[in-house]
Amino acid sequence: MKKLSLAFVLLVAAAGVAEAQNKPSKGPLPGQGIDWKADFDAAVKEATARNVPIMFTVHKDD
Amino acid sequence: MADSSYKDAKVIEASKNFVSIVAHQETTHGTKDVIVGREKQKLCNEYHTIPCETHKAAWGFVGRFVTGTFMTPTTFFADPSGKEISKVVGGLSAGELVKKMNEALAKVSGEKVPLPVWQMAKQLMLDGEIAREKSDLKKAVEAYAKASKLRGGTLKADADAALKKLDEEGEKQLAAALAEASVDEKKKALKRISEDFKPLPVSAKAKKELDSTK
Repeated sequence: MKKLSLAFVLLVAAAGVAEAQNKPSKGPLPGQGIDWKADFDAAVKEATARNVPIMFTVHKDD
Repeated sequence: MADSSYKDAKVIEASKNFVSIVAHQETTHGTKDVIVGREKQKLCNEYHTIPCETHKAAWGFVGRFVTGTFMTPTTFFADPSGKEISKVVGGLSAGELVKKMNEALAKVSGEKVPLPVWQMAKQLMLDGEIAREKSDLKKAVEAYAKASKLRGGTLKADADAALKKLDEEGEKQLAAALAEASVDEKKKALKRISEDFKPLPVSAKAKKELDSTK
């Protein structure tokens, strides 16, 4: 009986973990990350209006 | 670098005085499902605020800074017109990146508009435009007048241009009100113009006409 109860608890816990893994997490709120842009020409337009510099960073997968 | 530095609070704070673009052609690092507002979105595992399409699209602009073979990561800093002012080859810690960002920021003179202020200004200008389309000129004047108080960049000039157009619209309404034959109707129209177009010059003119009509 004790073994059966333990197995049941483990099963419920595993199901909970699986559900949590499939459930989408909450995304970043505004201001919690960098506001990355896709279009350089639009970036120039915005940077000119705001009088701020542009940071253009180039990466590749490791 | 991407995993740690771009998620660092000091880097995020410094980025508010920049327009930031990340160019990354590959998408093998994958995405994760997240809830943004009420919507489920697939956001990039590397840059966590954007879908992979954003950094993939930005790759098309790499040629603006570099041609041929080059090392990655490389970070270019440009002035507001897009002209390169400095570049850094290689990965940077959050502290090093903030230092480089501050150096680039110092090379752009004049008052800057931080991202939160810019977003607020854009919303106010949009509110003004929508109100104007709905002929709610009082609300439009209020929105543009708030935007006009924000400093830096072209914000004030843009808001003032919109206010000037509304003042011209008010002048037309004032002319129509003054041509009104009925004194009661004239007073009613002048009162409305003086209230709806406050604090524009036409509001003061309407008030003056209203006072002299009494």
